[in-house]
Amino acid sequence: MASEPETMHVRLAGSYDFDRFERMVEAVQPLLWMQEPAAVHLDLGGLVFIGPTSLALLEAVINDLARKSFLAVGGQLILPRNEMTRNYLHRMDFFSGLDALEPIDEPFSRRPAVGFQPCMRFRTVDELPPVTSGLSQALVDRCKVDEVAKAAMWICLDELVENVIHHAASPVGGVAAAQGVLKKNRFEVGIADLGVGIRGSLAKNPKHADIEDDVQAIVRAMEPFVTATPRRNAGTGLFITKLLLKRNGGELLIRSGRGLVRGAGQEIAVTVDTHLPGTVVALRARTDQALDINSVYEQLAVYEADHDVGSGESDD
Amino acid sequence: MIRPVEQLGPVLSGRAQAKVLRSEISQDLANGGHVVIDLDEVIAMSPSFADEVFAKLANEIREERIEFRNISPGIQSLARFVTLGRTREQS
Repeated sequence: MASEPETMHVRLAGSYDFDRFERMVEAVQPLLWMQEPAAVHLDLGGLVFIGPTSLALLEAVINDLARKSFLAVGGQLILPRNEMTRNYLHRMDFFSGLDALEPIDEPFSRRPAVGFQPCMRFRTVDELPPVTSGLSQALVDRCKVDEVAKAAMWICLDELVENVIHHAASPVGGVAAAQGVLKKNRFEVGIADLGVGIRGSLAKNPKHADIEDDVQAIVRAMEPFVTATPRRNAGTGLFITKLLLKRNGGELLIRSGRGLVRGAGQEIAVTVDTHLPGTVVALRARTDQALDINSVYEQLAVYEADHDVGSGESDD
Repeated sequence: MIRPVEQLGPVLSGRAQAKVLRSEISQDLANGGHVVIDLDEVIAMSPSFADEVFAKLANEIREERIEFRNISPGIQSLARFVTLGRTREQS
């Protein structure tokens, strides 16, 4: 006779914004390492705020459990008590990924997504254009920036979501979400996958066989012309994104394995205790400062002169 | 003359789209033509797009079989950058 599935309790409370993203990595640990189906009780009752980066990771984790048929009957979803938080999660299309869980509260009305980019899942190259255009359009809608800024965001996001398809080998694909906060002049995008991680990806290229840990792998990946697949890819996406955010006064956050690198220019790079399979890339841009990708490109000549840029890559 | 803005809009991004354009260029070259690409009205280009159309066609550009018109200083700089990376990768 089959035994009853275990119950897995996960409780989210307080805030999981850009600065507190690590709280989300810790919160989803029980879900990340589940080995068999369980009745998941997701308690969002005390949730106050969850930023798009944390939301993208949570959504990816839930999607992965659903993919593996690990969400057993009997799971429950306790909705946030805070009405604004509930409405926000609705706008971000979070609950549509939780069909396997039974909401305890009454359903509530959906509001249109203006200035937010609800969670978008992508698994193939063909699915990328609506993701990048949707994410960058959210910047225009919410933060009233010009077409130049939109183009800059579009370009960077195009590179980042393409990285998921080309390098992550994520069985669940990627999840992206964005939010603009007009009052704070900030725009945040988070992209999460549960693939091999940056270190695992670069390991395919013998040139990077010297990488010893996840932090080193992330830092290496932010350098120009670093890629697992030099024949196919240029390895410039993270580097260009970092330059753009540095000029803008924004920030880049990359979390992969036990590595965490944050900043744009003077990065903080640390090894953390909590392991995250795959990679999360988040960027936070200032919308009251220029976001001009072409001005970044014009600086590349100076960069080339100042640095011994790239020294060749072996093919994979 | 090829005007990418007409098919792809003012932001040229996506390696897959760039591959389609590169294929079109290669086809014209194979037919013995001199290909002119007009980048007028293009606001920005992604590095991966530039890699496909500049770096991977560097020989043809050097041989002046491909000519770019109305190219902005930013995109010109990006083109040099990605071509440098690929040249070093091959050396």
